[in-house]
Amino acid sequence: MGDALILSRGLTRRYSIGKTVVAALSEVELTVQRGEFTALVGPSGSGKSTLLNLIGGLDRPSAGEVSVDGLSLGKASEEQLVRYRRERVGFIFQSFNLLPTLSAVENVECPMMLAEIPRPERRQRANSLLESVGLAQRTLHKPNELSGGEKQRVAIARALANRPLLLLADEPTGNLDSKSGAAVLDLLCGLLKANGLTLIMVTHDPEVAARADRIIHLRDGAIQGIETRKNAEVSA
Amino acid sequence: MTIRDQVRTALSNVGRRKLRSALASLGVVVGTLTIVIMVSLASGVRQQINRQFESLGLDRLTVTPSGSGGRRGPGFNPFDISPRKKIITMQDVKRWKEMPGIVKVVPEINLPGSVGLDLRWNGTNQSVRMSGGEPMGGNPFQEPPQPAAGSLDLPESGGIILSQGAAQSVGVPAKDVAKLIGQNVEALLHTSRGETQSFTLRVQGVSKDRSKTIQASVANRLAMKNWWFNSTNVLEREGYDSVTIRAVDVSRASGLMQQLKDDGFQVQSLEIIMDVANRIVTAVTVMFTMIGSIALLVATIGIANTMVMAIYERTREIGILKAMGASRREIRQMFMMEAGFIGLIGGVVGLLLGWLLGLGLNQAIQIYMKYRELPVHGHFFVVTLALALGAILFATFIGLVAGLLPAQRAARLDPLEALRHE
Repeated sequence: MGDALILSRGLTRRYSIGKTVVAALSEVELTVQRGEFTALVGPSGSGKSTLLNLIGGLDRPSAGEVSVDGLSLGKASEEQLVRYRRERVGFIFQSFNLLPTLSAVENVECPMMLAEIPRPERRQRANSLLESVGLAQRTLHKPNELSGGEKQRVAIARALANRPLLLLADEPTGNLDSKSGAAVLDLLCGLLKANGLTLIMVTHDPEVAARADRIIHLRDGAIQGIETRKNAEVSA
Repeated sequence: MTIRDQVRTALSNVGRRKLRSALASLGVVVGTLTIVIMVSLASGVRQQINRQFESLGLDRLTVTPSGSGGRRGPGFNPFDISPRKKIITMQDVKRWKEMPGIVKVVPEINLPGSVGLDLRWNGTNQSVRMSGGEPMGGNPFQEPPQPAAGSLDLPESGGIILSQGAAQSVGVPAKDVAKLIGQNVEALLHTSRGETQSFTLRVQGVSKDRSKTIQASVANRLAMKNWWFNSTNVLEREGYDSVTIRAVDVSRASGLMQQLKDDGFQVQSLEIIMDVANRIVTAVTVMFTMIGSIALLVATIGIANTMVMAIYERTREIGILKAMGASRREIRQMFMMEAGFIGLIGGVVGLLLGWLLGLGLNQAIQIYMKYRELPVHGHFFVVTLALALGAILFATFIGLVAGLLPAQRAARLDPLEALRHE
């Protein structure tokens, strides 16, 4: 294995609900290469989102370890995790999660503000990111003035703001109609290639999963199978 | 996140819900307003007191013999001649005059209140009142008399000062009082039994006082008192009735005061009266400031409630920020700043309102004083720079304290739970 970005060993996450302990994820062994597009599929409750959150540093493993770009997320300090989320990961959510009071461009600027990038620079970069997702004309609109597809594009631009290594998308097309869903997916695939990004995407949709280099099937918190695809787009 | 960005974000978040922020800061406005008004009134009144007392002289002490019941009023008192334990002798006065740090020693002899006194000039008799030279004799809110002619500085050895009122009553109009200087006038003492005695005195000065009073020198008053008691040694027996000592400054005066008390005399100083006045003002101020503080305490609860509500509403937003890489510290600071700004806004508004209210009341008081012809000038509500800064800082501090717990709660939110909120 040459250039692995993500490595997990015996990755386990248990939740206690009342007195019972539920394992959302147990003993997951996973390797993700740089530049790879991985789809996580499986029925609800299979642990897809838990795995994504662990890789994103939003949650911590109960046992085992997951490391991204050499950083062991389970052992990392709170401060390291904050920096990791800020600088190396971009999240894309099903429900967009834009800040409702900020305009599109301000939403994209937000991660850069946290990274203390000077104002003129971040405004410029936010505008060019919005341009690259095809929203050059909508930069000053508030989220409630944008369509679902547009909102998700703003969210993608925001995820790219601090030039992350890794994009984590939790059903990014789940709230979109098929047409704008497909457009968002095309955009995402284009950006991946252009920026050499690694993408892990949780999805229900087999058509969406079909675009990935690898499909990982999860069931009851464990990997059931891995489907590697010889994707024409990747090799081209 | 830089401090500038935090300030900008906090401000825009406060501005997002203007009505709620305004209502939350209303408590701070009321509290700050109360405190500003009370403290500015206190400092204004204190300035007034100090000014009034200063014009009378804080550097002065009045020494009275012990056992005499202090300074005696002008009214008739049949038990006036109480035995004195420690009398003020001529030697005492002489000794005091030679002490370092003493500017002036003025001994006083008071005539009994039952003495009838007439001023006689050019064949006209007019009943007058004898006034002492002591500075504490009059109303402390009355300005000391100004000379209309001659000097009001009476030598101990002999002489008389007339008031303009007295001069007019014996037929000398105000414009001609200067003619009286150097002339001899007669002071006629008479008892209720009809005995009279005339004392001839040289006029040293005329004061602008409109009441009918005369002020004879100590030597003359001693002579009068000797005649009244049919005696020759009143001074040796009774000593002086009081002595006013003027020290070079207030601190010398208070040092001297202790020394004279240790010698067994009774000593009074305006400083003490002023101390008491200041203490009363301070007590009242503290009381009202506490009322203001209660308002601020209630305001704290209001702000805290507003912040808790804001954090509940923005839980998801906090989750988004955390996913994007905001640290706990940044989240906490963001909400603390919001709360601080609510306090700051309340403080500034409260200060401005308090200041304006004070200005209005100052005007009203001036008009009232002019209407009542009271010789009180200056302002009763004084907002000093220290008060202004203090009020604003305190209000901001109140906001920060109110924001502390809610902000801590926001900072501790689990990002996943926060993202799932709503």
